[in-house]
Amino acid sequence: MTAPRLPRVDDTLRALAPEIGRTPPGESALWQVSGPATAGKSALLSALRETLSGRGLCPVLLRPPLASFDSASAVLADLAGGLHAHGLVNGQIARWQEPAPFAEKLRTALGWLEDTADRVVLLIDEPGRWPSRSPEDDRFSAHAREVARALTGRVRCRRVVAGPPSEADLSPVRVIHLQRASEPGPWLCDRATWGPLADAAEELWCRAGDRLAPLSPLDLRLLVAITFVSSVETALQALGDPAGRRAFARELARRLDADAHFRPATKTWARLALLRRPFDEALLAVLGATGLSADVQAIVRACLLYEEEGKLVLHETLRLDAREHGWLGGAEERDTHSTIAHHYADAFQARGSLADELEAFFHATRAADARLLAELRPLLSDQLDAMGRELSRVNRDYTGAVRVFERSLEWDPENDYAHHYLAFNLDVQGTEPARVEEHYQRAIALAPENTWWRSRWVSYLVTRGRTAMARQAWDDALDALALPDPDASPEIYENLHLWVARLLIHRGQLDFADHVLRGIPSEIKHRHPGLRSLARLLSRLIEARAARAVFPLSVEVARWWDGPHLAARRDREGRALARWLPGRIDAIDEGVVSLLVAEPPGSGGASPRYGHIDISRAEFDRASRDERSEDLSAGRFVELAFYGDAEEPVIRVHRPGPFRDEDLPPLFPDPARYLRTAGWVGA
Amino acid sequence: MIDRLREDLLYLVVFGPGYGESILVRPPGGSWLVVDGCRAQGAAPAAQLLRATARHWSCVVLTHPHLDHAAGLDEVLDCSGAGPVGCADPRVMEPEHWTRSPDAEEWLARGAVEHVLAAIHDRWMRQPEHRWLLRRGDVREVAGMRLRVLHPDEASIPFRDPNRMAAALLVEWENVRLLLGSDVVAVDWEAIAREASDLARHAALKVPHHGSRGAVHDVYAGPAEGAQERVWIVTPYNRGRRLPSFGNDEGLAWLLEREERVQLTGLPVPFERQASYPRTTTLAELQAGRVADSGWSILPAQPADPGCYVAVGFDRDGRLVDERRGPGSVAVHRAVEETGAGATEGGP
Repeated sequence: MTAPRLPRVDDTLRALAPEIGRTPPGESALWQVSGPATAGKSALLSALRETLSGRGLCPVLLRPPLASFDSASAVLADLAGGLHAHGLVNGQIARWQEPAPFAEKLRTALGWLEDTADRVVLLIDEPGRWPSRSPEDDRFSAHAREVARALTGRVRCRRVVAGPPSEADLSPVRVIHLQRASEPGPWLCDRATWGPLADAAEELWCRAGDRLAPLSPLDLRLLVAITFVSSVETALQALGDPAGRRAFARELARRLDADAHFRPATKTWARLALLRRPFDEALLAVLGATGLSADVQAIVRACLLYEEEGKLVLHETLRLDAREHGWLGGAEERDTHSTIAHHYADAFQARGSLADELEAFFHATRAADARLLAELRPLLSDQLDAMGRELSRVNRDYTGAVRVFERSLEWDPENDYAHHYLAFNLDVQGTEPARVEEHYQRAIALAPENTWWRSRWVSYLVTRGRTAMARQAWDDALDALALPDPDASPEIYENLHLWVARLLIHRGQLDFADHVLRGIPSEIKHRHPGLRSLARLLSRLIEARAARAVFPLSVEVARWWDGPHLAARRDREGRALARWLPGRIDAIDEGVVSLLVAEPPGSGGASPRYGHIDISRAEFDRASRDERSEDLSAGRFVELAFYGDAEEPVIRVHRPGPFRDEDLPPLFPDPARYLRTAGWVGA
Repeated sequence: MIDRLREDLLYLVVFGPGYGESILVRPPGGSWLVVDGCRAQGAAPAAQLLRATARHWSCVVLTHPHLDHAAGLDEVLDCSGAGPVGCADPRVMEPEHWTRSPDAEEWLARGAVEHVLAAIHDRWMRQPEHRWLLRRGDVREVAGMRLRVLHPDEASIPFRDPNRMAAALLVEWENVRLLLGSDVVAVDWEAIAREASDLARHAALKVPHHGSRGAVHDVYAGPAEGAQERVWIVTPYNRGRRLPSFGNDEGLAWLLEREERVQLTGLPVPFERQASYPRTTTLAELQAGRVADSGWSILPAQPADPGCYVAVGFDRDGRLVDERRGPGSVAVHRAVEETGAGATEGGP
């Protein structure tokens, strides 16, 4: 369905288009459109593209998928595709697509803009939201920010920027503020627009009236859907929710999910949410929407989607909502990505659009579809890097990932990300250590402040048993990152300290692990469950090293002296517990059981007193209420309880259950991988 | 720590426990051969000795990947040194099998073995010329010494018991012969004897398998023609089933029937309960004053740091010229009258 254009958008368009035409190009020829979400900023840019084309200018709309690893690639694809559509870069695109580093590609694209600045108007949609917010995407985000900065700030052509103008420090010619406002009455009462939902739309208007006026078209569509699926009362109740649009979307999702008839709409919503660009009817059919019942299909078409310049669009906010609901399982999501990837690949074959190829690449990456990916051309090495990451992480196809990162380095030999992950994917397999070292170190040389590059290098050295080198690499890392720093981001400690400490503890390198954990500000350490768990385990191992391990790991440190843990408070004769000792069987031979025991600390902060008790097996067996000495071995834990004035204790034996700490960070990669590859790991 | 070693002697230093045993050999003017590792309260005495004597290692050997032989060897490999790195049976336990253990000591021990094996594997990959998979008959010249592998042979490979795969070594320099028995058991000494004769003629023996009855054998402990005094050193095993046992039918008594004195680097008790001074005693005294059976009273841990070592220096003719014994070590004599002391002696 076509959404009604907001009145302010039309007004602004009428004033802005001639102004742009009159203003000479130059770095200061910049307009900024601001306003809240759903105020019509993007709609204004789309309208400008249409209007400016009619005025002899060459508008190029840059609307990449937001916050994605390939946003920078998508912007450049939009730019090159837009210029090509106006006949401005004929013959140059094919060469530009050949492997080259990001900086070189950006330089070429900026050169095109310089040459065509008199005619081109860049319509730049939300550049501040191009970079990915995921910390793992740092490298890609840096490229997205650089592209945004360059296009909003350093070029001579006229630019209209929706949203904040990224990090450019130029002042716009004018800032246009858009407000949410609509005239919902005629639209809601247009029965042809709403089809099977017409009664619901009309009822909503009749009951809510002017209360609907401040709402955006998206808000209204959601309320119509709620009215249709549930009742107008439910819609009115949602209307009163101060959370506004978020509450409407949440309520609609809940109602759809709760009704078996409407539930298929949620799957379709989730599949459509995987799309990043406006799409056509064919793709809607491919994703199964056309097979839905008529009324469910009407909800999808009239309420979830809207039409813009002949294409269908799922609003960005509904895309994000769908992700949160998790309606698709992992395998289903990958299958859908694969379906979409093949659709775009076919579209690219038919039309040759860079944007189609980029989408095919993106979805094939998300599907970890190595076969399709091999047939597609990336635009930037970022795409290869992300593809390698997905192959590694999703498919655990480490060999495939190595090949992709090798390809990425052919594009850009200075790509620290590709160097690092080439090394990592070899390292995970426990193979080619010489190459692993070369590429880990190259990545560090190129980006010395990357915490992951440092963390994995130190961990690699520990894995290989090179403790002294690992210590040196650790000190180098702290120097490079200027640590410890109480103001440093907690992520640094999570990425660097946590994984190094985890491996060191596994390998029994306790002093080194202690040194690493002591480098974390205590506030961060106490807040992070994984770090807390590591600190707990380390303290237990340090106790064991000092021959003080008298509790099994399953007894929490805080509860150690809050015993007894096994023995009763009174014995069978009713005598009260006088004293208890936790202990560990140190040795058993033919005649003797040797116990390491501890006298619990008294009140007033005294320390426990450790010592040994050697008793005959007969004495042990007489005292044990559980297993006999012949069934026990060194390493089992016991508790000695003395009742009344008895000289002989009762012995209880801890059951040999496995130790589990759900907060303990996993060991990945396998610390024995190189030994496993060599055939050194036995049963 | 051992210091002021004489430059003109070949030294054999045996540490153990803490936990495990570690043997070092240094010829005059040479660098150290290190066989196996042990740790005492977190420290690796072999690495400490290397650093204290400012000498390199010229060969490192892990005789078998048992917890009481591997610990601390990674720290030795991290010390300055270059040369062959030997291992007879490179094998670790699947980490999944022990990372759920409720026993923190097992985590420590298994992790340490994995770390040592990782360090050895790393060396073998980076310096293939120094890779030494120990097999019977192999001979290497190291720091002017001749190292000969007595065990295992290829026929030992099917054994899953690491002791059957443990490496026994004969170290020769001038007229000095040192027999390092690792944990090789009696049945394998018979096989060794078929290939190597005259093993009883040696200046010093690191007694196999902590002096257990199942490891002593006349192949190496029988009478030797024209023999000088032989120094026999036992490292105790202080975990699980403790060794050596002091009974009349056990390995220590058997050894004392053949040699009038046997040196123990410590008693088979936890490190914290070792004496803070070297002692001299007899088997009878050990039997009478067994550490076992304290009743239900607690034997307190000693705060002192026992050394638990025996160091002996030989001249080029194999004569014992220098002998040092660390705190905790025990010289056990065959009989009371031979100690000249009449009872357990020693003291700080």
